[in-house]
Amino acid sequence: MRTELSARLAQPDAALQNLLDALLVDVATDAPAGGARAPAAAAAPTRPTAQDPVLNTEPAPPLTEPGVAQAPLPAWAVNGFRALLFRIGEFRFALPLVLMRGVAPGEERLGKIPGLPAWHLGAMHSRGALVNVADLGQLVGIDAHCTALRYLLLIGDGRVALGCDALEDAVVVDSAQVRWQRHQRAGRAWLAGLLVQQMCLLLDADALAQAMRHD
Amino acid sequence: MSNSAAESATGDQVIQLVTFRLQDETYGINVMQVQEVLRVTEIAPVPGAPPYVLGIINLRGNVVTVIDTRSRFGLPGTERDDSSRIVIIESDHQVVGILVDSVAEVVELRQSEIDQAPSVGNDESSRYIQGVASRDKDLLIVVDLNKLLTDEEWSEMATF
Repeated sequence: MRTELSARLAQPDAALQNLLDALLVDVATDAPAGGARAPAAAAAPTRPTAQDPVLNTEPAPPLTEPGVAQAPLPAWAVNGFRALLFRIGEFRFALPLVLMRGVAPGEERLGKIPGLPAWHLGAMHSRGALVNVADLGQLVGIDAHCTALRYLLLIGDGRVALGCDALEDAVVVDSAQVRWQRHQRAGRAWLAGLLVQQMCLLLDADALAQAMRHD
Repeated sequence: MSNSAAESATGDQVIQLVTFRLQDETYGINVMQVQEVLRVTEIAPVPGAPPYVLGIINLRGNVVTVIDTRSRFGLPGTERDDSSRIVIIESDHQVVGILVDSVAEVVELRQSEIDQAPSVGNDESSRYIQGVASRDKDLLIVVDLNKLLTDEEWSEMATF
Protein backbone atom coordinates (compact mmCIF):
# COMPACT_ATOMS: atom_id res chain seq x y z
CA MET A 1 0.00 0.00 0.00
CA ARG A 2 2.75 2.40 1.05
CA THR A 3 4.78 1.51 -2.03
CA GLU A 4 1.82 2.19 -4.26
CA LEU A 5 1.16 5.41 -2.47
CA SER A 6 4.75 6.52 -2.84
CA ALA A 7 4.65 5.73 -6.49
CA ARG A 8 1.54 7.78 -6.91
CA LEU A 9 3.03 10.64 -4.98
CA ALA A 10 6.20 10.50 -7.00
CA GLN A 11 4.19 10.91 -10.15
CA PRO A 12 1.15 12.91 -9.14
CA ASP A 13 -1.75 12.71 -11.46
CA ALA A 14 -2.03 15.91 -13.43
CA ALA A 15 -5.78 16.07 -13.11
CA LEU A 16 -5.65 15.63 -9.35
CA GLN A 17 -2.98 18.27 -9.08
CA ASN A 18 -5.07 20.69 -11.10
CA LEU A 19 -8.04 20.05 -8.89
CA LEU A 20 -6.06 20.53 -5.71
CA ASP A 21 -4.44 23.67 -7.05
CA ALA A 22 -7.75 25.14 -8.00
CA LEU A 23 -9.44 24.32 -4.72
CA LEU A 24 -6.66 25.14 -2.34
CA VAL A 25 -5.21 28.24 -3.88
CA ASP A 26 -6.45 30.39 -1.02
CA VAL A 27 -5.08 27.99 1.58
CA ALA A 28 -1.72 27.91 -0.08
CA THR A 29 -1.45 31.67 -0.14
CA ASP A 30 -2.34 31.93 3.54
CA ALA A 31 -0.22 29.05 4.75
CA PRO A 32 3.09 29.83 6.42
CA ALA A 33 6.21 29.44 4.34
CA GLY A 34 7.38 25.88 4.19
CA GLY A 35 4.11 24.17 3.43
CA ALA A 36 1.97 22.49 6.04
CA ARG A 37 1.09 24.24 9.24
CA ALA A 38 3.26 23.68 12.25
CA PRO A 39 1.84 21.13 14.66
CA ALA A 40 1.32 23.73 17.36
CA ALA A 41 -0.72 25.88 15.05
CA ALA A 42 -2.76 23.03 13.70
CA ALA A 43 -3.52 21.65 17.14
CA ALA A 44 -4.55 24.99 18.58
CA PRO A 45 -6.49 24.63 21.83
CA THR A 46 -10.21 25.11 21.57
CA ARG A 47 -10.23 27.26 24.73
CA PRO A 48 -8.76 30.72 23.90
CA THR A 49 -5.74 31.90 25.82
CA ALA A 50 -4.61 35.40 26.70
CA GLN A 51 -2.36 35.31 23.66
CA ASP A 52 -5.10 34.14 21.41
CA PRO A 53 -5.75 36.68 18.65
CA VAL A 54 -9.46 36.20 19.24
CA LEU A 55 -9.12 37.96 22.59
CA ASN A 56 -6.83 40.67 21.34
CA THR A 57 -8.39 44.08 21.92
CA GLU A 58 -6.44 45.51 19.03
CA PRO A 59 -8.43 45.95 15.83
CA ALA A 60 -8.47 42.72 13.92
CA PRO A 61 -6.29 42.64 10.84
CA PRO A 62 -8.26 43.00 7.65
CA LEU A 63 -9.28 39.85 5.91
CA THR A 64 -7.56 39.02 2.70
CA GLU A 65 -10.87 39.27 0.92
CA PRO A 66 -14.26 40.59 1.92
CA GLY A 67 -16.59 37.92 3.18
CA VAL A 68 -13.84 35.48 4.08
CA ALA A 69 -14.01 34.35 7.70
CA GLN A 70 -11.39 32.49 9.72
CA ALA A 71 -12.74 29.19 11.00
CA PRO A 72 -11.28 27.39 14.01
CA LEU A 73 -9.84 23.91 13.76
CA PRO A 74 -12.70 21.40 14.05
CA ALA A 75 -12.99 19.96 17.55
CA TRP A 76 -12.77 16.41 16.21
CA ALA A 77 -9.40 17.16 14.64
CA VAL A 78 -7.58 18.71 17.55
CA ASN A 79 -5.91 15.48 18.68
CA GLY A 80 -5.73 13.82 15.31
CA PHE A 81 -8.41 11.71 13.70
CA ARG A 82 -9.11 8.66 11.58
CA ALA A 83 -10.13 9.18 8.00
CA LEU A 84 -11.60 6.94 5.34
CA LEU A 85 -9.95 7.21 1.95
CA PHE A 86 -12.12 6.51 -1.05
CA ARG A 87 -12.28 7.15 -4.75
CA ILE A 88 -14.78 8.95 -6.90
CA GLY A 89 -13.86 8.67 -10.54
CA GLU A 90 -10.14 9.24 -10.81
CA PHE A 91 -9.88 11.24 -7.59
CA ARG A 92 -9.18 10.20 -4.04
CA PHE A 93 -10.99 11.87 -1.17
CA ALA A 94 -11.09 11.48 2.59
CA LEU A 95 -13.85 11.74 5.15
CA PRO A 96 -13.28 11.90 8.91
CA LEU A 97 -14.65 8.64 10.29
CA VAL A 98 -16.00 10.43 13.32
CA LEU A 99 -18.41 12.32 11.08
CA MET A 100 -19.62 9.26 9.20
CA ARG A 101 -22.67 7.16 10.01
CA GLY A 102 -21.66 4.10 8.06
CA VAL A 103 -21.03 2.55 4.68
CA ALA A 104 -23.72 0.79 2.68
CA PRO A 105 -23.29 -1.26 -0.47
CA GLY A 106 -24.31 0.57 -3.58
CA GLU A 107 -25.64 -2.55 -5.22
CA GLU A 108 -29.30 -1.78 -4.79
CA ARG A 109 -30.93 0.21 -7.51
CA LEU A 110 -31.53 3.81 -6.58
CA GLY A 111 -34.97 5.25 -7.15
CA LYS A 112 -34.81 8.39 -9.25
CA ILE A 113 -37.18 11.04 -7.99
CA PRO A 114 -38.15 13.55 -10.65
CA GLY A 115 -37.59 17.24 -10.26
CA LEU A 116 -34.54 17.00 -8.02
CA PRO A 117 -31.14 18.55 -8.77
CA ALA A 118 -28.63 16.75 -10.94
CA TRP A 119 -26.50 15.87 -7.91
CA HIS A 120 -29.31 13.71 -6.53
CA LEU A 121 -28.36 10.26 -7.81
CA GLY A 122 -31.44 8.71 -6.28
CA ALA A 123 -32.85 7.39 -3.06
CA MET A 124 -33.07 4.03 -1.36
CA HIS A 125 -34.20 2.57 1.93
CA SER A 126 -31.40 1.50 4.21
CA ARG A 127 -31.76 0.44 7.83
CA GLY A 128 -35.33 1.65 7.84
CA ALA A 129 -34.58 5.13 6.62
CA LEU A 130 -34.83 6.81 3.26
CA VAL A 131 -31.32 7.69 2.15
CA ASN A 132 -30.70 10.34 -0.48
CA VAL A 133 -27.53 9.74 -2.44
CA ALA A 134 -25.46 12.55 -3.91
CA ASP A 135 -22.88 12.77 -6.62
CA LEU A 136 -20.15 14.78 -4.93
CA GLY A 137 -18.96 16.39 -8.15
CA GLN A 138 -22.39 17.66 -9.08
CA LEU A 139 -23.11 18.73 -5.52
CA VAL A 140 -20.08 20.92 -5.05
CA GLY A 141 -19.20 21.72 -8.63
CA ILE A 142 -15.99 19.81 -9.18
CA ASP A 143 -15.02 17.38 -11.91
CA ALA A 144 -15.31 14.17 -9.89
CA HIS A 145 -18.21 11.91 -10.74
CA CYS A 146 -19.17 8.39 -9.73
CA THR A 147 -18.71 5.83 -12.44
CA ALA A 148 -19.34 2.59 -10.56
CA LEU A 149 -21.25 3.64 -7.43
CA ARG A 150 -20.15 0.64 -5.41
CA TYR A 151 -20.57 2.19 -1.97
CA LEU A 152 -22.69 4.77 -0.23
CA LEU A 153 -20.97 6.78 2.48
CA LEU A 154 -23.62 7.69 5.03
CA ILE A 155 -23.11 11.07 6.63
CA GLY A 156 -25.09 13.62 8.61
CA ASP A 157 -28.05 11.96 10.28
CA GLY A 158 -27.58 8.84 8.16
CA ARG A 159 -30.28 9.86 5.71
CA VAL A 160 -27.87 11.33 3.20
CA ALA A 161 -24.94 9.65 1.50
CA LEU A 162 -22.18 10.27 -0.96
CA GLY A 163 -21.80 7.79 -3.75
CA CYS A 164 -18.28 6.47 -4.27
CA ASP A 165 -16.60 4.06 -6.64
CA ALA A 166 -14.10 2.38 -4.32
CA LEU A 167 -12.96 2.32 -0.72
CA GLU A 168 -9.21 2.47 -0.23
CA ASP A 169 -8.10 2.58 3.36
CA ALA A 170 -8.72 3.96 6.82
CA VAL A 171 -5.79 6.00 8.07
CA VAL A 172 -4.82 7.84 11.22
CA VAL A 173 -4.19 11.48 10.44
CA ASP A 174 -2.10 13.89 12.46
CA SER A 175 -3.81 17.26 12.30
CA ALA A 176 -0.45 18.83 11.61
CA GLN A 177 -0.38 16.91 8.36
CA VAL A 178 -3.50 18.64 7.13
CA ARG A 179 -3.54 21.88 5.24
CA TRP A 180 -6.74 23.17 6.70
CA GLN A 181 -9.16 25.22 4.71
CA ARG A 182 -9.38 27.80 7.46
CA HIS A 183 -10.86 30.52 5.32
CA GLN A 184 -14.33 29.23 4.75
CA ARG A 185 -15.58 30.78 1.58
CA ALA A 186 -19.19 30.79 0.65
CA GLY A 187 -19.94 27.71 -1.39
CA ARG A 188 -16.85 25.84 -0.27
CA ALA A 189 -17.78 24.88 3.24
CA TRP A 190 -17.61 21.25 2.12
CA LEU A 191 -13.83 21.42 1.90
CA ALA A 192 -12.12 20.83 5.24
CA GLY A 193 -8.60 20.78 3.88
CA LEU A 194 -5.93 18.70 2.19
CA LEU A 195 -4.31 15.57 3.59
CA VAL A 196 -0.70 16.27 2.75
CA GLN A 197 0.61 12.72 2.98
CA GLN A 198 -2.25 11.18 1.05
CA MET A 199 -2.52 14.10 -1.38
CA CYS A 200 -6.27 14.18 -1.31
CA LEU A 201 -9.05 16.48 -0.29
CA LEU A 202 -10.52 16.11 3.18
CA LEU A 203 -14.26 16.65 3.04
CA ASP A 204 -16.37 18.27 5.72
CA ALA A 205 -19.09 15.66 6.06
CA ASP A 206 -21.38 17.86 8.12
CA ALA A 207 -21.22 20.68 5.61
CA LEU A 208 -21.95 18.27 2.79
CA ALA A 209 -24.89 16.79 4.68
CA GLN A 210 -26.18 20.25 5.33
CA ALA A 211 -26.00 21.05 1.64
CA MET A 212 -28.07 17.95 0.93
CA ARG A 213 -30.56 18.36 3.72
CA HIS A 214 -34.12 17.79 2.86
CA ASP A 215 -35.93 19.37 5.74
CA MET B 1 -59.78 -5.50 11.32
CA SER B 2 -61.02 -2.99 8.73
CA ASN B 3 -58.88 -0.12 7.54
CA SER B 4 -60.89 2.41 9.45
CA ALA B 5 -60.67 0.33 12.61
CA ALA B 6 -56.94 0.00 12.15
CA GLU B 7 -56.70 3.70 11.56
CA SER B 8 -58.64 4.65 14.64
CA ALA B 9 -56.65 2.22 16.77
CA THR B 10 -53.27 3.56 15.72
CA GLY B 11 -54.04 7.03 14.45
CA ASP B 12 -52.14 6.06 11.35
CA GLN B 13 -54.23 6.80 8.29
CA VAL B 14 -54.35 4.12 5.60
CA ILE B 15 -54.50 5.38 2.04
CA GLN B 16 -55.02 3.55 -1.21
CA LEU B 17 -52.89 4.40 -4.19
CA VAL B 18 -53.15 3.52 -7.83
CA THR B 19 -49.63 2.79 -8.98
CA PHE B 20 -48.24 3.36 -12.44
CA ARG B 21 -44.87 3.15 -14.11
CA LEU B 22 -42.86 5.84 -15.82
CA GLN B 23 -39.40 4.96 -17.10
CA ASP B 24 -37.96 2.72 -14.38
CA GLU B 25 -39.88 4.05 -11.42
CA THR B 26 -43.23 3.34 -9.78
CA TYR B 27 -45.50 6.20 -8.83
CA GLY B 28 -48.63 6.26 -6.74
CA ILE B 29 -51.65 8.55 -6.83
CA ASN B 30 -54.61 8.70 -4.48
CA VAL B 31 -57.23 6.21 -5.67
CA MET B 32 -59.97 8.66 -4.72
CA GLN B 33 -58.79 11.00 -7.44
CA VAL B 34 -58.76 8.36 -10.18
CA GLN B 35 -61.92 8.20 -12.23
CA GLU B 36 -60.92 5.59 -14.74
CA VAL B 37 -58.05 4.14 -16.70
CA LEU B 38 -58.18 4.10 -20.51
CA ARG B 39 -56.24 2.42 -23.22
CA VAL B 40 -54.55 5.00 -25.38
CA THR B 41 -56.60 5.95 -28.37
CA GLU B 42 -56.22 8.96 -30.57
CA ILE B 43 -54.91 12.03 -28.79
CA ALA B 44 -55.58 15.07 -30.92
CA PRO B 45 -52.79 17.62 -30.66
CA VAL B 46 -53.79 21.20 -29.92
CA PRO B 47 -51.96 24.01 -31.69
CA GLY B 48 -50.41 26.46 -29.27
CA ALA B 49 -50.80 24.17 -26.29
CA PRO B 50 -48.17 24.27 -23.55
CA PRO B 51 -45.41 21.67 -23.90
CA TYR B 52 -46.80 19.57 -21.05
CA VAL B 53 -50.09 19.09 -22.92
CA LEU B 54 -50.14 16.17 -25.33
CA GLY B 55 -53.54 16.98 -26.68
CA ILE B 56 -57.19 16.21 -26.09
CA ILE B 57 -59.38 13.13 -26.17
CA ASN B 58 -63.09 12.67 -26.47
CA LEU B 59 -64.35 10.87 -23.41
CA ARG B 60 -67.99 10.02 -23.94
CA GLY B 61 -68.68 13.41 -25.41
CA ASN B 62 -66.49 15.35 -22.98
CA VAL B 63 -63.20 16.88 -24.02
CA VAL B 64 -60.41 15.89 -21.65
CA THR B 65 -56.92 17.35 -21.83
CA VAL B 66 -54.08 14.83 -21.61
CA ILE B 67 -50.87 15.77 -19.81
CA ASP B 68 -47.53 14.44 -20.97
CA THR B 69 -46.46 13.05 -17.62
CA ARG B 70 -43.00 12.04 -18.76
CA SER B 71 -42.33 15.56 -19.94
CA ARG B 72 -43.74 16.98 -16.73
CA PHE B 73 -41.41 14.79 -14.68
CA GLY B 74 -38.40 15.69 -16.80
CA LEU B 75 -38.15 12.22 -18.31
CA PRO B 76 -37.34 11.46 -21.93
CA GLY B 77 -40.22 10.70 -24.23
CA THR B 78 -40.98 7.20 -25.45
CA GLU B 79 -43.15 5.45 -27.98
CA ARG B 80 -46.60 4.50 -26.77
CA ASP B 81 -47.27 0.76 -26.71
CA ASP B 82 -49.90 -1.70 -25.56
CA SER B 83 -49.08 -1.01 -21.95
CA SER B 84 -49.56 2.74 -22.20
CA ARG B 85 -52.57 4.10 -20.40
CA ILE B 86 -54.37 7.38 -19.88
CA VAL B 87 -55.41 7.75 -16.27
CA ILE B 88 -58.36 10.08 -15.91
CA ILE B 89 -57.97 11.96 -12.68
CA GLU B 90 -59.87 14.66 -10.87
CA SER B 91 -57.75 17.24 -9.18
CA ASP B 92 -58.90 20.16 -7.08
CA HIS B 93 -59.14 22.07 -10.29
CA GLN B 94 -60.50 19.91 -13.10
CA VAL B 95 -60.64 16.53 -14.78
CA VAL B 96 -57.59 15.71 -16.87
CA GLY B 97 -55.84 12.67 -18.25
CA ILE B 98 -52.25 11.74 -17.55
CA LEU B 99 -50.38 9.50 -19.95
CA VAL B 100 -48.33 6.81 -18.19
CA ASP B 101 -46.23 3.88 -19.39
CA SER B 102 -48.44 1.36 -17.61
CA VAL B 103 -50.79 1.00 -14.68
CA ALA B 104 -49.77 -1.56 -12.11
CA GLU B 105 -52.09 -2.09 -9.14
CA VAL B 106 -53.84 -0.56 -6.18
CA VAL B 107 -51.83 -0.64 -2.98
CA GLU B 108 -52.54 0.30 0.58
CA LEU B 109 -50.07 2.32 2.55
CA ARG B 110 -50.06 3.67 6.03
CA GLN B 111 -49.30 7.37 6.18
CA SER B 112 -46.38 6.57 8.46
CA GLU B 113 -44.82 4.47 5.70
CA ILE B 114 -44.42 7.52 3.49
CA ASP B 115 -41.18 9.40 3.96
CA GLN B 116 -41.10 13.07 3.25
CA ALA B 117 -39.71 13.67 -0.20
CA PRO B 118 -36.34 15.34 -0.40
CA SER B 119 -36.98 19.01 -0.98
CA VAL B 120 -33.61 19.99 -2.25
CA GLY B 121 -32.62 22.42 -4.90
CA ASN B 122 -35.50 24.08 -6.64
CA ASP B 123 -38.56 23.20 -4.58
CA GLU B 124 -40.80 24.21 -7.46
CA SER B 125 -39.50 21.45 -9.68
CA SER B 126 -40.51 18.64 -7.32
CA ARG B 127 -43.41 20.19 -5.48
CA TYR B 128 -45.75 17.49 -6.78
CA ILE B 129 -43.76 14.73 -5.05
CA GLN B 130 -45.66 14.13 -1.84
CA GLY B 131 -43.33 11.50 -0.45
CA VAL B 132 -41.55 8.22 -0.97
CA ALA B 133 -42.36 4.78 0.39
CA SER B 134 -40.59 1.45 0.21
CA ARG B 135 -42.42 -1.24 -1.73
CA ASP B 136 -41.00 -4.65 -2.63
CA LYS B 137 -37.44 -3.34 -2.30
CA ASP B 138 -38.25 -0.53 -4.73
CA LEU B 139 -39.31 3.01 -4.11
CA LEU B 140 -42.89 4.05 -4.57
CA ILE B 141 -43.03 7.75 -5.33
CA VAL B 142 -46.26 9.29 -4.09
CA VAL B 143 -47.53 12.10 -6.30
CA ASP B 144 -49.75 14.95 -5.18
CA LEU B 145 -51.91 15.41 -8.26
CA ASN B 146 -53.18 18.78 -7.10
CA LYS B 147 -49.65 20.10 -7.39
CA LEU B 148 -48.85 18.49 -10.70
CA LEU B 149 -49.37 21.88 -12.29
CA THR B 150 -49.16 25.36 -10.87
CA ASP B 151 -52.34 27.37 -10.35
CA GLU B 152 -51.48 29.34 -13.44
CA GLU B 153 -51.01 26.18 -15.46
CA TRP B 154 -54.29 24.71 -14.22
CA SER B 155 -55.98 27.90 -15.34
CA GLU B 156 -54.33 27.62 -18.70
CA MET B 157 -55.51 24.01 -18.99
CA ALA B 158 -59.08 25.12 -18.38
CA THR B 159 -59.01 27.06 -21.61
CA PHE B 160 -58.89 23.87 -23.70
